[in-house]
Amino acid sequence: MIGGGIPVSRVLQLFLLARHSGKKQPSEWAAAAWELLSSQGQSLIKGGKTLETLEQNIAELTTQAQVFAEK
Amino acid sequence: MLTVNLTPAFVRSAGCDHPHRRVDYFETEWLPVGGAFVGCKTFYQGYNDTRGRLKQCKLSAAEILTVEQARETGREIVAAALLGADPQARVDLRAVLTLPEFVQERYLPSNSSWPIQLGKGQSLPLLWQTLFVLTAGSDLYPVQDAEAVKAAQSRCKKLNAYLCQRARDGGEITFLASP
Repeated sequence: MIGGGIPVSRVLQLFLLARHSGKKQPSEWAAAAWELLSSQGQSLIKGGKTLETLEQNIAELTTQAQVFAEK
Repeated sequence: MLTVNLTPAFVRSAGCDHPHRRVDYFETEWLPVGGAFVGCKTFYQGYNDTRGRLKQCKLSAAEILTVEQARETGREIVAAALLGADPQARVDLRAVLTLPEFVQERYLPSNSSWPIQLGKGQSLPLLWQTLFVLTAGSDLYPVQDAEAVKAAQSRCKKLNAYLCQRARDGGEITFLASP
């Protein structure tokens, strides 16, 4: 027996992976997640629109990572 | 056959002197179209089954339903019988453990801090539905006792590490394990 399941998005799972690998700051989690996503040709979608630039993606990931870190 | 006008006052004052003696009071002389009656303070509803035979269906103890509620329930039973349904099947459904009974008999004995006042007439299927909705909305989580949590922690960590690694390849699994 393990327990239950809680919903955790892929991005948050990537943050956890980065933290597990020793990265401590949310900005580092965001950078690691973006490195992986961009290498796969993927971008974030916010408000129904794809974030086109590196800056937009990094900023959104950093925001999500900071929120996640505060939980 | 005693035909009476069933009123709350009459039901309150209706005698039940002998535990094995039943006295029936009919609200209408033609029972199948609607009379609820009380014998030892229990409401019944008469109806004709699909073969035209006169049947009666127990509604509830008079302490639980009001006269008007008994009439309303009785009307539903007669309507169902007219459409060919078996009103006794309804009685079987009502025999399902209600939410208050479930909480009182199964839940409270092991959980003394249950904070919610539960209403009458809430059925077990309703409880499941409520639990599904609350769980889906992340307002409620299933939990284990402390020992089970402790035993499951290392397995959870391993599984979550694997799932997070899987997240590198795609986002198919959007859940992690929680002990």
